[in-house]
Amino acid sequence: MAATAETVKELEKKQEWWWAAEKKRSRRLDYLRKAMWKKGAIGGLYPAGLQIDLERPVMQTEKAKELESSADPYVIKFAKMLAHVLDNKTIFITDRSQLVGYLGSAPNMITWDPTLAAILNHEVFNDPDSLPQPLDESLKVIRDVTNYWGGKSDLDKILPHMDLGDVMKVLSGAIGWGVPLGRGGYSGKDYEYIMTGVRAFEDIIEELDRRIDEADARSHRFDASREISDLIDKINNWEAMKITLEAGIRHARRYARLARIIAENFESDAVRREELVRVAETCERVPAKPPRTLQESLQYDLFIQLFSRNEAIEGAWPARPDFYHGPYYERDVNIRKTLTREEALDLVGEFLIRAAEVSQYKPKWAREGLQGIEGTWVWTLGGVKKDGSDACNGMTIALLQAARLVRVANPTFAFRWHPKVSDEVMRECFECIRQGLGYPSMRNDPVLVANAMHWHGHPIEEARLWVHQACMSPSPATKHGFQPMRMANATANCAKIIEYVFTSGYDHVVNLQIGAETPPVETLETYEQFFDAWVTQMKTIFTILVRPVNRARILAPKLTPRPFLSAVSERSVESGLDVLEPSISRGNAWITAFTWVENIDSLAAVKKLVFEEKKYTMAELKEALLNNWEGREEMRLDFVRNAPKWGNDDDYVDSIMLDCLKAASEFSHEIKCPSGNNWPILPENVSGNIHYANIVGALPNGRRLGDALYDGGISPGPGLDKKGPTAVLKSCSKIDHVTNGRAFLLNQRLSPTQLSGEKGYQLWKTYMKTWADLGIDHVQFNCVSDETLRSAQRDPEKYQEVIVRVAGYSAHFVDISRKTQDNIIQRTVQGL
Amino acid sequence: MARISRDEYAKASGVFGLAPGGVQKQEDLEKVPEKPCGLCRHFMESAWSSDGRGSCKILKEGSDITTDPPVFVLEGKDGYMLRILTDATRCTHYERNEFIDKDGYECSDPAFRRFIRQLRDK
Repeated sequence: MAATAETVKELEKKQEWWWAAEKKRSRRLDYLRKAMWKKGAIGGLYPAGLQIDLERPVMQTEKAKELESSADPYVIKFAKMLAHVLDNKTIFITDRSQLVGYLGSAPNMITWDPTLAAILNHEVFNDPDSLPQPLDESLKVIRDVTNYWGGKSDLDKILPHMDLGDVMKVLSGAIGWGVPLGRGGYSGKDYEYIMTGVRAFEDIIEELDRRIDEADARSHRFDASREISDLIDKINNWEAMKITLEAGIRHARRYARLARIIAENFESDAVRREELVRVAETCERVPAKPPRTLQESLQYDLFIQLFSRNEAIEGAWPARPDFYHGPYYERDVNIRKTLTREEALDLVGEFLIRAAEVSQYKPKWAREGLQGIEGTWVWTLGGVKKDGSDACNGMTIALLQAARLVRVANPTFAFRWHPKVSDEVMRECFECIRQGLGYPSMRNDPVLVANAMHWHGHPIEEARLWVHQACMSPSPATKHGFQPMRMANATANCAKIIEYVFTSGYDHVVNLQIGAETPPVETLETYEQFFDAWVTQMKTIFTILVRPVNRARILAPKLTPRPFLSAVSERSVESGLDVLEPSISRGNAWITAFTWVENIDSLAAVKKLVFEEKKYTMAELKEALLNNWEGREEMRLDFVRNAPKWGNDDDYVDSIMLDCLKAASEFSHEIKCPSGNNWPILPENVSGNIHYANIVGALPNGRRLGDALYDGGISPGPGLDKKGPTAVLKSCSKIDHVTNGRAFLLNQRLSPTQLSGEKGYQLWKTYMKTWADLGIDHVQFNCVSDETLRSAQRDPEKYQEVIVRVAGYSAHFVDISRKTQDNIIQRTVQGL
Repeated sequence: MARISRDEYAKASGVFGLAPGGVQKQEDLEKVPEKPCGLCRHFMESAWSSDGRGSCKILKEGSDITTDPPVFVLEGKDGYMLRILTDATRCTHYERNEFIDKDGYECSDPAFRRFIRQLRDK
């Protein structure tokens, strides 16, 4: 425990920010923070105490069986199954809370959706630690549920319609992760439709009724055409949407009733009784009607997020909370003064906690790739309004301050920097970074608005309304711009590109021919031929990953519809088409490029040591790599030490980065999503660099099988950027951050000592000015000393609350594997 | 590259537990043989998942260790796909692995991690 006698000042001086936060936050926030169950996996397994919730799968299975012989089309059956869960799942209200709603039946429960994939269900069965006791009873339930959904799950339905070769390669897990599913990935929301206070569920239901009546009348005229036939599908979709919205309203009112029951029968404290009545009134109001207060607005948002996660596994949480809740904050705190700043901070802090505890059972690859967190809840702050003016407001500051008080690792923030951001807001961002949260990551708004227009043709007014679709990729939260589902399997393990050049596409880890059968590498006579082989492998891998996503998006409206997400999306309510229908979406696809920079350093090493200096033959190198450098340590070190490395402002290797990005971006314009738009690449990693460590073979940059890969994006290899922070920025600035790709992640470690005091802020501000002037789109910081991190490794119990930036997200240091911890410590600490 | 035939896929997907007709029942997945492939040093877990899929580093496609006599194909390209709980009693290439990671919390070590409940005490 903390040395409780120490003052906040003393703790802050020692940079023990977590203990200081504990003393600074309100009693309510302190209680709620400590009552929260962390859901992120430790390494690859869920921590002790978390359990898989069997209530929901049983309900889904019962309802599915009941509906088997009904006359309903699938979309309505699915909506009824969702409604059944919302009407019957166990609900609870946490003591002292003002916001309600959780996916599971108890706070330590992780929900499992058995309708998605038989292979996921097998994982549940196999899970060594998270099954509720008594084990025999749990296993019986899991067995029954899994047996029912075998062959009926979304993935079972969709895979037979795919190119089967692609399926086998994707499911090997070697070149990408995830599966192409309409109900598993990153779901954006049409916030401009649903979160602007203009409408809520009852308004939409009214519109749906009107559209159903009109379509019904039209479809019964003396007429027969394709249009009339399509109206039947549309009516079904509208009815399904309506079922989910009505269920959402009923679900909220269950909470209202529960709050009143507790207030009237069980609560003796008068203040808490009043709070519970307010909770009840809030849940009677939203989501049925538009919110009027900050509490209603936050509750409304939370309900929408939870309903959507009852419908699908959502691995991300695209959001812009300051922009959409800001007007309510302003009204309550500054205009009507119905809330003090402290009271508002309590609500905002609780909103972060409610989001942090959301959890859905995910396969082990996802847990390893997102160690310590539940998903990439990267919330967007700052930025500009539709007209280009500064969008920051009181809520922006409240969120940044609340984050420092509750110190959850998830959600994290990404801040849209632009030249009009005030110094006050920049100082708040800096405080979060200095206090070791690892967030907000900083995004260069003018560059990214231009990027959204360049790659996907978003009009400027929509591009300005972008949110992070996952860790990094911008997507406008608008009618045609928002992305209903980004399927994670367009995530390339790019180190395989260079590996496959040496194996002619054969994967020695999963024992499959996956890449292109390029000529044996020892027969390549020039660097140009070698690079051509690299381009061929790159195109092959990207194609294998993208094709199933395209196919799944085309099949999804029929096979895996999303009636709730459709119901809160203007384009679906208007058209009667499922939200996943590509023809009503502008398209915002991207290929996440994990383990990208290994290619650059490897190509540079081969170019210099094999083709130019001729120190080694290609045959020698191939043999060394196939044998994992065994017996060739001296040669390996030559490839590590004597080949140029990215991130040192060295044109030799930086030009190779540009060549690779040019080839990839040209190809990005050739491959199209079903909406007809481009597939740009986006280099970043999350903790995929650790997940893939034993899946990627030895590489010419000197890496051995099993070594952690680089931490990702365009970040230099750990310890390989030897020429200081400006050299890193200069290397990164050679990339065109608008046309070379969708976004580029850059990790930097800064010294906490150097960032202390006003001088620290000024240093950081100067660094940020250079970063902005150079047109780099992203940077994120770790600001925790080696000493603290090593102490946390030695004594994890004492350092439970230390947070680090992994890559694209933050996590509590103790929740990530030793290998990931070491990888973060190895990153170069840059002196500014 | 030629497209994969539906027969080939059916065979592979049976192992993967994917195809509607080939979904393995959980009862089968609960039977832990004396020599499960998951404990063999030549078993490579699928990199994607921990639902029990994997391939053999020695045996190639066309092998079948479940028949009597077993079929061992050592030449060829793609590996023989199987599952953690495939019975390797008849496999003469079987070599029991020594596990390093005992608790399963460390990740990215497919050859050594213990992820399935059924093998926990083995």
